[in-house]
Amino acid sequence: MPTTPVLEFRDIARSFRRGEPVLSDVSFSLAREEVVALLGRNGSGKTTLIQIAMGMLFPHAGTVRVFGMSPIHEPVAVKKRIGYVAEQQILPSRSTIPDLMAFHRYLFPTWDVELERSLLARFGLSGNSSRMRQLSKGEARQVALICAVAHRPELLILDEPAGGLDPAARREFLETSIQLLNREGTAILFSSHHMGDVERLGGRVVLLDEGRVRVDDDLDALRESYCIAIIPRYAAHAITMIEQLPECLKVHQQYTDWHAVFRGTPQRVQALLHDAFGLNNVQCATVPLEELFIELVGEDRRAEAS
Amino acid sequence: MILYLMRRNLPSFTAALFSIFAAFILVVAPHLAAAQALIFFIVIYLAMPRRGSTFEASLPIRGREIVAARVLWILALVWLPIATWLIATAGSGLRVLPVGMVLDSGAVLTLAVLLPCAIQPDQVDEPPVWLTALLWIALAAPSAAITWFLPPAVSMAMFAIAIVVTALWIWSKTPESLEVAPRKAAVTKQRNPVMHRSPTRPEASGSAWKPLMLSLFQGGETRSGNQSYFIFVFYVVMFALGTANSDFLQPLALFYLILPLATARRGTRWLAAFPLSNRARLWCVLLPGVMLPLGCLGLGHVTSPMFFRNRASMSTNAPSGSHERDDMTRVPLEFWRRATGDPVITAPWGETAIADTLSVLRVELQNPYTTNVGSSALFVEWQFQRATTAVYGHPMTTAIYRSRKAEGTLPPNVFSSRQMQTLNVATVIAIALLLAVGSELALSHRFGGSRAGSYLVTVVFMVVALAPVAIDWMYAKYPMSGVTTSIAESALIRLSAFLPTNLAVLTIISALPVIAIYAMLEWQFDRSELVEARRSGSTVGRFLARPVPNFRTS
Repeated sequence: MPTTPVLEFRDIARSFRRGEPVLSDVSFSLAREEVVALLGRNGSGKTTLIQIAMGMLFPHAGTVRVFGMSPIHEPVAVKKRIGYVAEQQILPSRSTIPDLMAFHRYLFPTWDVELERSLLARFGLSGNSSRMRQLSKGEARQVALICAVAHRPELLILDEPAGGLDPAARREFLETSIQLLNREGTAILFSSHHMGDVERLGGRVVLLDEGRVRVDDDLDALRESYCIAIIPRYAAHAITMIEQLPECLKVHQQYTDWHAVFRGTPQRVQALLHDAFGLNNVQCATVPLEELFIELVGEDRRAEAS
Repeated sequence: MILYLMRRNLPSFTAALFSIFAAFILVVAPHLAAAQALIFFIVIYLAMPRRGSTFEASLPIRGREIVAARVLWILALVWLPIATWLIATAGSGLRVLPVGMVLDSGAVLTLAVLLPCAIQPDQVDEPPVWLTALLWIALAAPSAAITWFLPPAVSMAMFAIAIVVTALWIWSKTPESLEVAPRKAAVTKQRNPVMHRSPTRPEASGSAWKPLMLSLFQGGETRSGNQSYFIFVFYVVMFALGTANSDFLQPLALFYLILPLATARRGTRWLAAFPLSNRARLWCVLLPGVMLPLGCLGLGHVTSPMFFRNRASMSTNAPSGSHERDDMTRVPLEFWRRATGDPVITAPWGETAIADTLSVLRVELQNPYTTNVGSSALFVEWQFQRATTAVYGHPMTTAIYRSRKAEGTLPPNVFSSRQMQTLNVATVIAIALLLAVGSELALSHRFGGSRAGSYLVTVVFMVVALAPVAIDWMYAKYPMSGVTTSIAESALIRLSAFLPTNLAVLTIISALPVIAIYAMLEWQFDRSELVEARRSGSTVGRFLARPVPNFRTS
């Protein structure tokens, strides 16, 4: 029996200036218990997409459904089941930690006081009555994260969740709280620039590039079934045709050579290039996630004229 | 470098608007401007960035130059109205305010700008609002005494010395590099999140309502500095306007409502991420942004002994005309009628008089109760009884009117009727809600990504909100309440004639348009998005801030 996706974007388009789309035809969905990492360069539309999921921005085209509901028309029902950490601090700076916790307890009927206490203790914030503005950036981030997870949401949306946290706190948080929630069936959508976080959490990766979904695949598939082919300069005439191949995701110039990102194993891509264009001994290799990200969203780099 | 920084960081839109506004009023209606000088100053001061930003502190610019650029802009905006007034009234004989007093006021305001800079001059962060307020209070008493008791030349000299000394002190104490860490954050004990695992302190119990209540009145975080409790200034302003003015419908008060509205909207933006209905969030804006300011306005009215004072009799607050015989039939403008062409008033027995006329925005109005110099006593009596019917609801002879006025037993006028009171309250609320709709459109609505559309709506909204104020001041030379108020009241008087006296029915009928406008506001609020605050003047700033070849530090 098909179940309703926890979060579903369908053909989302959005722009902030006429003729300059931030998002175009973005479609993907999250099922229960699924973890999706939203990757992309700065300005690729990650935060816009997340704010659309929260009903804080409206799509110009397409639909967004959270638990089968519209976050724009049914914001209360939707937001009660979501935990959200914004990229920038949105909690009022003059409020104290206990006041903020009390505010969240009031708004979220499923608030887990025990989880709140344990997380406060874990982050060393127990008994801390400081105002938000008196906290360090990392501490403020920790408070925001506790506020997002302590009501045990069914969907956790984290926009750069660990920004500002030191490596120990980052690992602590990701490995305990988020994975704890995920084991309970919580779906997680998070954006991050830290490939370490993405690899630690596993799940699926959605890569946004120039407002479009460039890649939507499992992390394991990204590691094993994507490769980079280095097309030598003598084969430059074939670049246009290589770009047309359905397996080819992107081709861009790297100084004198060309790098092409393919969906497929290195052996298969080598065979494909040989059969289609007669190119022999093209270097193909799987690469770490960070390299793959850079290859997919990177710009051309041409050798500068002396 | 100071001039370059000034060109790069132009004043905020609100501050510039209020400065120009103040200059306009000071020339057109000096007494009104003098009464509101403090309000204008506070708005300009709070809407302007007072010290540097972290970004500027990180650049190779001297700290004192950063502070000087900011302070000079505030002073320019403070002195713009005064300079405009001095130039506009030079040699015209229109200077109804003493020059010495105006210059003294400018000097005191200059000190009010400078003194907060003398506190923590090494910090990027300005002193807390309460400390600034204390400084101003401490400055107010001696300044008033100096201005009042000493000759202008002496007081000016004293203020000039104080300004120079303060400015030199700030210049010398402001370091080359401003400290960016706020002191409170600097003393916060940093804890290691991994090591500090066991809770050793008891959990503090919090208040769920505190974050909400604080954000309702604190205006949120802005680029332009600390605007804590900025909104309370307008509550005091509303109360003062309610106390000082007899009219319910005050264009100025309603115009001022835009600022608490915008402040409340900014302060509650963070709630968008929480499971609160749009209606609940709207009420979080309306409570501090509309209800409390209107409540203060109403409280001012109710507590003022001058409540409806200038409508107590027929002739008070009425425009004068050339054809009148005496004051007896000079009714307030609310009872005038639009001229239909023939200005001749004819009595049943054939006697005529030429109606007194007044042109308001090219619309000819006439007093239908005018008596001329040659009018007979019978005609005057006839007109007087018609006028009292209009003003008090039933006719009175001149003899009865005079005796009842002497005894203080005049009947309540039509403004005091239940219908008029209810209509007035409903109209004020309706206009306030309309302003909220306009404010939502201007500040929180994206027009398909069109920046020009957004600016156009903002400008149209400001012009529409400001137009009644400007029209009132254009006709401020007439001894009457504001023209727009009078015309609105005139329409309400006519409308009230069709309304029942039953309070319940009356309330329901009056509430209908208010509910309709509220529904429109909710509709618009549902379409408002999370919009970043617009950076005022940035386009002009970029244009004016031409690149400098070398980033000189001296």
